[in-house]
Amino acid sequence: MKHNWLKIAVGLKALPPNPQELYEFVEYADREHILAQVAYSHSMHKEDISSIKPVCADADALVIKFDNAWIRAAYDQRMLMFESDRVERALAHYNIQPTLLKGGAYVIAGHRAGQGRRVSDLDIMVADGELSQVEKALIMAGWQGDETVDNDYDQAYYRKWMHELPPMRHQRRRTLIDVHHRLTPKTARIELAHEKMIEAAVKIEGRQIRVLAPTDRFLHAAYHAFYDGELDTPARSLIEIYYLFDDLTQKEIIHLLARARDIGAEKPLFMALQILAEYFDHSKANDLLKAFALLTGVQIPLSSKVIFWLVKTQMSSNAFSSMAKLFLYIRGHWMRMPFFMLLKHLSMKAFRKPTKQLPKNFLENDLFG
Amino acid sequence: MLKSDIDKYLGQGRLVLSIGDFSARLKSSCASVGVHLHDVYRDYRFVKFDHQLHDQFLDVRPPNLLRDLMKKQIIPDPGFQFPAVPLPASMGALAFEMGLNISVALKTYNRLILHAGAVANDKGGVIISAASGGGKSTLTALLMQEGFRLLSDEFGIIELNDHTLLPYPRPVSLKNASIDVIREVAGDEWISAVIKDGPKGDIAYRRARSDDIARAYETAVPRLIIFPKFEKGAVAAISKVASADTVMRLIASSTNYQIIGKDAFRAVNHIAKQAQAYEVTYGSSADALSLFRTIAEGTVL
Repeated sequence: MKHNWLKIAVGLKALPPNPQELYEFVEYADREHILAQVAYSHSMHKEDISSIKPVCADADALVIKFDNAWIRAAYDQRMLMFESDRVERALAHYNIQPTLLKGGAYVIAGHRAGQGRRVSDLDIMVADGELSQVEKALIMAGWQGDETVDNDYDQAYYRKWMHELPPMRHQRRRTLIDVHHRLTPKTARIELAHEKMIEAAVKIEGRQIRVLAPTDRFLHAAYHAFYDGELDTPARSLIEIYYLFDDLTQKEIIHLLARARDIGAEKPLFMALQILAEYFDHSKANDLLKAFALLTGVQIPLSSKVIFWLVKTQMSSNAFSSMAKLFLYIRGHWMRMPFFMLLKHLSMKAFRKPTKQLPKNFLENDLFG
Repeated sequence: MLKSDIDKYLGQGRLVLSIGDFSARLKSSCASVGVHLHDVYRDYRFVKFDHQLHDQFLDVRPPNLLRDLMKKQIIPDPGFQFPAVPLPASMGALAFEMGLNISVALKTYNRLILHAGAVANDKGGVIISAASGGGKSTLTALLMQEGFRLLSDEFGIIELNDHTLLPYPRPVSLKNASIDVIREVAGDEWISAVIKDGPKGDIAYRRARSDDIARAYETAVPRLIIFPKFEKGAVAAISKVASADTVMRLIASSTNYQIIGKDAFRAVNHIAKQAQAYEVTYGSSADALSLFRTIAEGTVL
């Protein structure tokens, strides 16, 4: 990835003028599943699709690619709106208001971070005490434990250690839902105060659904990108952080550090700010970092600096990036669980038979000859 | 393009194949893929990749290094995670055709894709919609001998703005007994070498003609929809299919109907209204052809 590509992705910079870089950028955006978001930020789809042409080489071909990606993303969003409606219905009877997380929240809240975003499943969070009722209600409404985790080890593992139920798939519509009752695994090295975040969640008008408050949404995205998992589509995570941060009000920015400390997201905040300064040259992020440097008692921890370097190295596609990627993978697991548990978990995963699944309509249509 | 250049650029992943409105960047280190391109794709247009944006990407490669050393296998890699079954390295043609099909079927959203054969003459287009094994490739190849040009034996591609059929004339894939049936009517020089003992038995390709390829930009208005149904020893029969039923069948045969949504709904409804649809039950290709002629006489074609 070139250093300024994230700026291009969110529309802070124009598309590359020379064909070779444009090609490489488009290929990268496609691989990272952000092509429709790029289309959005370059105005393609704000009004009439064909009315605005990007100024770059190969513009006609690019319009077609953008259009194609936009149709795909639009489907994800329709699916998500529909599914959130079904979940709402399934839970309404029990008076449970789930909190939508991540992509689902951005889409339903009409946030910029949701425009053109690919979404593969719905993530909801409910209170600990509501969990078993929610699982029962979803089963009644047609969801079931997904085949890929339908084995004793995975089921027990999720239920004992994770912050979510094993993924559930709707038996007729084949859509996936993740039901969270916390934001971090029980074994994680950084724990977010999910109760406080649920408490501050905002109800969507006219619906029985909530989304995290803007500040919490940003901090959760930062946590999710850098402290939960191996950052496998970094571009998507980082432009999401950009949009969520960019839309914070001045008041929200002033209270950002206090809130991060309050919910245990100080390290994710520092990581996000460094990224925002580095890749987006965001003036508010720069200002915050400068202000923090002057404050006594606020110090960017060494670990955040190391992780920042690893993320940068992974993204730069130089000689060390695959090594950095491996470190981030191991660390992704390391952050989630203690060492001996990690050993056991990874050996289980390594030795069991991989199951390969074809997309369902493919089996039916069968294009193999 | 010279054969030697095709081989060179294919190895480097710098070979672009243009078919009508579609272009694919190709890469392969597998000799049998090159042979397939020289033979079955000899009349197509290849250009050198020069960072032009393309619609599909395909790399036919060994599954991994270990397998490469041990077993000489290949998989089609369309550039996105797709669980493909490894094939023997000699079956480059099959891996290539499968891989390109997967890429078209799973990455095209701006046109409605029906899993169907399609041909056209000057009066309009014919959609041949059947499940795998229903005989759509065979019927497509037979109709090529009846004065129709080939649009595709695998995809009925419908433009979302005017609901016409967009040609994508790739070689017609023939299986088992139908190889010799088509060889007889089309002539031996139009049929590729036979790949023996593939996942679905023997397979061979009927080449597209220069005219099919040259007219790949000319769309056709769908006038006739055939749902062929092959049953061994069946008595030949034709029955008309109502337009509502046609809509449901076309939707079921689409790889991207759900993803496109509203525009796809409009397209299938328009097509079903505009075209006449028939189910054709047949026990032999002679039956299929005579039934088709009966239908064609009664319609605009």
